[in-house]
Amino acid sequence: MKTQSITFIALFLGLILTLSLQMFTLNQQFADHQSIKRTFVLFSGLPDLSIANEALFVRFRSYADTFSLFSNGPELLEYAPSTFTYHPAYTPNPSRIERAH
Amino acid sequence: MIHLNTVSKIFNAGAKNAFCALDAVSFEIKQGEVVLLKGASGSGKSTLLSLIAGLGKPTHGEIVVGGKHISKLPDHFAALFRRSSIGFIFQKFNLIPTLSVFENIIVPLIPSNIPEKELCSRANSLMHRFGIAEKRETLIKHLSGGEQQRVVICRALINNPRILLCDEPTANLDATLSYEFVQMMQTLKTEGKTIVIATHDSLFFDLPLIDRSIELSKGKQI
Amino acid sequence: MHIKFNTYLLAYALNALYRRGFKSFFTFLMLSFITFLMASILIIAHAIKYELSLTIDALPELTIQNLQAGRHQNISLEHLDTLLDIHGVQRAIPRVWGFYYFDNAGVNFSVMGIDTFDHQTKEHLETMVTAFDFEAFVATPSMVVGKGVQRILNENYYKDYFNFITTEGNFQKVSLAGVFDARTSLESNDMIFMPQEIVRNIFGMHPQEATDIVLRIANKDEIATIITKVKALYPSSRIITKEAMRVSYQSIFDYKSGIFLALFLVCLVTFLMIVYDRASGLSSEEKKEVGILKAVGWQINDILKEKFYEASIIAFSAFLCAIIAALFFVYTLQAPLLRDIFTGYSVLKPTFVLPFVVDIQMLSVIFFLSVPIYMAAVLIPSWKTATLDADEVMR
Repeated sequence: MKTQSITFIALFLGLILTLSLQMFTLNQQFADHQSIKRTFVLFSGLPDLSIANEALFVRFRSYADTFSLFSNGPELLEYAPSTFTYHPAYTPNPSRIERAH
Repeated sequence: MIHLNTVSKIFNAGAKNAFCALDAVSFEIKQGEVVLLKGASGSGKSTLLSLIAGLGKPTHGEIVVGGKHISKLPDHFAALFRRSSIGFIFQKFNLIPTLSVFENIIVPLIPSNIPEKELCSRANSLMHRFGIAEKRETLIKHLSGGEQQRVVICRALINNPRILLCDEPTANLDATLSYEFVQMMQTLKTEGKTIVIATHDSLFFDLPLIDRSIELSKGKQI
Repeated sequence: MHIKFNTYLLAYALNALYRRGFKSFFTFLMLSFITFLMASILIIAHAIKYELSLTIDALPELTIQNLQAGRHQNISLEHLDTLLDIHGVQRAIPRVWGFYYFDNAGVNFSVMGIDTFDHQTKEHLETMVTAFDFEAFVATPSMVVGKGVQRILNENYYKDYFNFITTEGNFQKVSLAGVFDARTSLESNDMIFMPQEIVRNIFGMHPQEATDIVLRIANKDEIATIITKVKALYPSSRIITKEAMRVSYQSIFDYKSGIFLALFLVCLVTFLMIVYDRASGLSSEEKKEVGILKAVGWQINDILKEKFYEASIIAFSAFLCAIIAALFFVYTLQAPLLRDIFTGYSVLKPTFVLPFVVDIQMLSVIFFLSVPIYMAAVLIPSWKTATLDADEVMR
């Protein structure tokens, strides 16, 4: 019975070790990312991440559109939940990429 | 050793389906005695045994075992009492089917956290004594009735209790195995254990092993 | 009090879990999966938030835009010197930037003009672009683009150059001088950088006009005064402060976390249903086992300890596995499927290289939503059963 407990404790410690190792490796791997990202923003001087962009939704709305300095108003349609799934632009001439899909 | 004073047990007391399992039973059992509890099924033998073991509490009356008022012990102490003084052999064995023989035998010892060496030596000597040493790692569900009975006896004896309570011990055994059981009881008697056997098996009635009989009928002592 | 760790009890608990094989494994799997989902979403949301707050720090303190009839117009450069004369203003930089719609792919590129005479430009570009030749970049009309732009151009057979169509309908050929480091992809993905003159040419902008002017200010306390002065100079101007950006991001995140909370609630309800399933009682075998244990002399606290070990083994292992899996999923695999919730409607999908941050608060939220709830769900019914009389339980 004791062997079982020891096996389990070893496995459990193994899990903790894996997690620590993983955190350590990720930390090493991503350590140099921040400075280069900072340089980029310093260089471009523009906010926003390029997470979402396309024909109707350009980046840097806060700078480009007078009326949507990201307020917290309910008219903030760009960020309403439906936009997560709603594809707004239908082009009669689909792009090469769209055709490929 | 065991002293019962007008003990009654009513199940579902106060409800419509209230049922009186024991009615004012009083007797005394001395240390080292082997006592037979006779009676047809449903006469209250099992209930009486579980009350003596502190598994349940009597509705009225008082049970004193080894100087302790079992009927008044809080659950916590009743468990300690069972662990140190009582070995119980259940009619349906009540073993854990998915554990091995060895694991079932040591179950009562687990909370005491004794050294592994001692734990193994106690279990091993009992298994040798009752001839199930070679089945040590076999799961209970793969054992025959007689083998299971021996495991139950080993489990009951692992804490070296002074009192052994047997509830219909031969109900699931054939004649040969029953006879074997009687012999085991005989050896235990010579070691000075107090044994209470509740049974309606006529095999026990005229045995020299039995010091005394107490007969129950519909919860009443005859 | 006897507090020596009881390894037999632990072994018994392990054995009990093993005996209930499929059920234990299923519970472990469900618990891990739900915790994993919760952890992944929280890690992604937290990393994006962290990334944004980091980039905001590097933004210019003030951005001045020109409004006409409430609409954004180009700003004239004639007041540039006046702006520089304002006390506290370190630098005033006119910028030329905008969006270029690439019809073939249906994508908007963000185009930014750079001042090739600025001494920092060369330095910055060399940091961010591997093997960058600045002299060649200045000599011919060239551009530096993000990974996403490069990909789209390649898909449309533009390998070394791209033909922009100017406002007059002419082609402006710009050669590809370099691609930004993939690590900046979350910022640079859709961006094109080229000298200001070329951007002006493409967008048809007057040489004495800019899109906006940014001011770098050394002392934060002077910002308010400077805004008043700029407003007096340019009554039609719209001034965006870094602080306003920070506040608006905060509200965006408050808004978005509301949406995530809604999604999250679904997870939570599922989880509570599993918990309820457990809490609604032990199976008859489990009950009988509790009865046997009591009958052979286990106290209530021994039984509860054993159940506690059982629950802890499942809950803690599931928690650890879930965190390990979530970190692997988000950072190593770059969150396939889940990433689409965040980048769902973009055409130029960035590589999802999120910053790695370990936040104790976030980890504790995940912990407290999984481990204690499950443990309670196991312990409460066990306690209910264990307090009953042994013979009653076994019956």
